[in-house]
This record gives sequence, C-alpha cells and structure tokens, in this order.
Amino acid sequence: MEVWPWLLALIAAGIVAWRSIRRRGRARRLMLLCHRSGLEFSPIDPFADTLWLPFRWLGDGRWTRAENVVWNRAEGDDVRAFDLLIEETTGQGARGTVRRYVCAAVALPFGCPRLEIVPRDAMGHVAGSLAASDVELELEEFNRRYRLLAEDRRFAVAFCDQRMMRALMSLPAGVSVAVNEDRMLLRASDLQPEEVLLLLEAARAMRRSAPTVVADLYPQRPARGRHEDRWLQGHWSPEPTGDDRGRTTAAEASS
Amino acid sequence: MEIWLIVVLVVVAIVAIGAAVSYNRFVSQKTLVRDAWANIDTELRRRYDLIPNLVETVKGYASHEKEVLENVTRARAMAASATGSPAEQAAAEGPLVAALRQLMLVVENYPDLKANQNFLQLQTELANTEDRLQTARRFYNANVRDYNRRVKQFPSVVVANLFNFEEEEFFEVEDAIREGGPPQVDFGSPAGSGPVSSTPGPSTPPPPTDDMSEAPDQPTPPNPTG
Repeated sequence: MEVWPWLLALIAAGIVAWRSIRRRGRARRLMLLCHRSGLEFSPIDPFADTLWLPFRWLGDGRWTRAENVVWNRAEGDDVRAFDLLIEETTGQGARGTVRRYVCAAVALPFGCPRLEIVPRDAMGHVAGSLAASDVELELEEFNRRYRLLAEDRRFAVAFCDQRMMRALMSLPAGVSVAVNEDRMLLRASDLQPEEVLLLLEAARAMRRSAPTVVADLYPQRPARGRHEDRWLQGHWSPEPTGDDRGRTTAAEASS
Repeated sequence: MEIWLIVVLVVVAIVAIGAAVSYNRFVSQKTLVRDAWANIDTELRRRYDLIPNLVETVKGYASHEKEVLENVTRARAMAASATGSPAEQAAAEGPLVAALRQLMLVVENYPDLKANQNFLQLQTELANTEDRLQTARRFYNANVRDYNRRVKQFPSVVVANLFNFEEEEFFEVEDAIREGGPPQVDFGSPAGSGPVSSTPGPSTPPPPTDDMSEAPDQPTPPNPTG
C-alpha cells in the first residue's frame, strides 16, 4: 500500500533525469558541431530580442523559451538558429504540452507585411479553400504543398516568384516559413543537431533567393531617428541614444 | 402549414444572403483586377518613358544602326498608343519586346557604349522596370485566375450569370531584357558568320530559361525528420 507513492515518485524522478540527460546531450552535440563549423553556440539565449522577433509563432503558448542558440560571429546577430520551447495553451488554464521547435531567423533587405507559408495538410486544404487570405500562385505543385496566408496579396506574389517557390519546395516536409517586417523565420518540429545547422544554411540560402524587386516595392523603413530607442534606457532622456550617440559625437567634433 | 412557411422564408433568406455575399465578393475581386491592371499600366508607361533616352544614348555611339533604332521608336509608339484589352496590349507589346532585344544585341558590338555610365544607368533602370512589370503581371494574373475560377464554379456561377460577371483576360507578355539573355556565341559556326550579328533578323526566340539555372545557390535542405 505504501509502495505506490514511492514508485510513482521514482518514475517521475526517472523521467526528469532522462529529459535532463537528453537535453544536455543535445546541447553538447550541437556545441561540438558548431565548434567544428566555426559557429558560435550558447545553451542559453544571449540575445535580448530572440523572443521579440516579429512572428506570431514566437508568442503562442503560456510561456516560450529560446535555448541552444547558434550564430555566426562574422554575420552578427542577423542570422541565428535556436530551439524554441512552447507550452501550449489550454482552454481550462491547465498545464499544456511543451513542444520543441527548431527555428532559424535571418534579416531581410526589405520591410514587408506579414506572410506565412505553411505546409498544407488535409484539413488545411479544406480550410484553405474557404479562407479569403489564402493566396494561390501559378505553380500547382507549390499550391498543393503549401498554404500562403498573407496580409498583402501583392507582397505574397512578389516574394514567391518562380525561384523562391522552387527553393521552398526543396525544403523537407514540415518546415514552415514566416516573413514579417525585415525578418524571415524558418520553423521545423524537433530536428537533430546536425539538421539544425542545415536549417540555418537553408535560411541563409532562402534569403539569397529573395527577389530583388521586393526591396524596390517594399523598401525598409527609414533608419532610426535620434531619440527612437530612448525607451530602451527605461526612462526618458534628452540625450541621443544607441548608434546615434557616436554619430552625434563625430558631428560635434567635426563642427 | 406555418412551419413550412417559416422554413421556406428561412431558405429564401439564406439564399439571398449567400447571393449578396457572392455578389460583393465579385465586385471586390473585379476591383482588385482593375487595380492590378492599373499597376501594369504604370509600369508599362515607366518603360515607355525610358526608351527615348535609351535610343538617344545608343544613337550617340551607333548612329548608323538606323533601322534598329527606328524599329524601337516605331514599336514604342504603337505600344504606347494601344489602349485596349490585356490581350490587345500584350499583342502590341510583342514587337516592342522584339525590338528592344534587337537593340540589346546591337549594343554588344559597341564596347564604348557598354561602358557609358548613362547607358549603364538606363539599362539598370530598364531591368528594374522589367522586374516590376513581371511582378505586376503575376499579381494581375493571380487575381484574374481567382476571379475566373469563381465565375466558373458553382454556386457563384449563378450569381455571375445573373449579374453578367464575365471572365477576364490574362496578360501574357515576354520580358524584354531578362529572357533574351546574353547573345549566343557559337564557335562551331562557319567562318565569316561572326559570333554576334549586328542586325539580327527576326530569328526564332531563344528557349525559355529555367529560373533555377539562374539561381546562384539553392538552399541545402535539412534531412526530413523521422
């Protein structure tokens, strides 16, 4: 009679230990791979804005966490891959399932409205035929495989030209792509450490495949003003902030 | 008896609401098609505006290529004056595209012209306009495809027939700069024919290029997960 609580506690402790070992094993393997590939790796997220990137997928769930971040020092923080942990929301407020995704984010040379390119499953096909925001393109094979959800149809058509469509179709099944403002995010369900680096490379190559005409039609928003990032200091300040500080000093010196 | 009347009234109301929604969607789709056509028109005008400058620049270096330059000017005037349906506009664009390709082939024979900053700028701007035109054309055709599908599909076909919503025409025209590509150099041709003809005749159009072959690099996809 008194054995059962102990047995349950033992099983729970075993599961926690097994998860912890698995998590650390993944981090270690990814670290070794990054070391060999000349990439940077951090088991905890060193960037302040990873979860603040402008994508709906990063805000879903009761809580989200980014870990096992990979980036290339030469490219700065514009290109990075990371594991995303999301606890799904439940209607009753109870704890939901924690899901792990692998994401790769890259900066784009244009500023654009929101576009999501998600694999089309059977239900998606039915829902897609009813949704008004769904965009269908000239390549039937692409339409069968992906669903395009766009705020701006014109952007969806401009962004997904023939070359981009073929690049998207060369991705393995299960990879979704989102574009918003000046960022692109590739998301896949749990990948092996080796595949994380390939996802990062795929994101880079997708950026190179982006049509140049999009930058002409959807230019980036103007550079930051002198006081735009003042809020980052946590209080109002009359002094210029961020990058403009150096520029102002240089301008003062020259005058 | 009263229940049947209510049922009939409910069915009629549902049908009427459905028809109204369908009609409104047709109207918004048609507006979208018109807007998309206006975009194409803007890009075409932009191209027409660039051509006189291009011709003048080429004339400065290759004044004896009179026939080619006249062809471009004539084709431009014809295309600019065409204000018909998309099919008519596309037909008028054909000779202009051919003339522009011919002009670009001629330019290959004048290295000084190719190095001219003004010409390079115009060429870049023309290529940029071609890209914008291609995007506008794809957007227009995507809207026409959606609209035409609804015109044919049931039950929207009933509303379409009732209110005379007819199928729209697609706009299909070749790209003047991109698809023409660089001149083909055939080292196996008989001596004297020359690698590049200065005044090429109305030869067969080059085969369409595969978009993927132009891609400098493609994404390396991760392996599918198990």
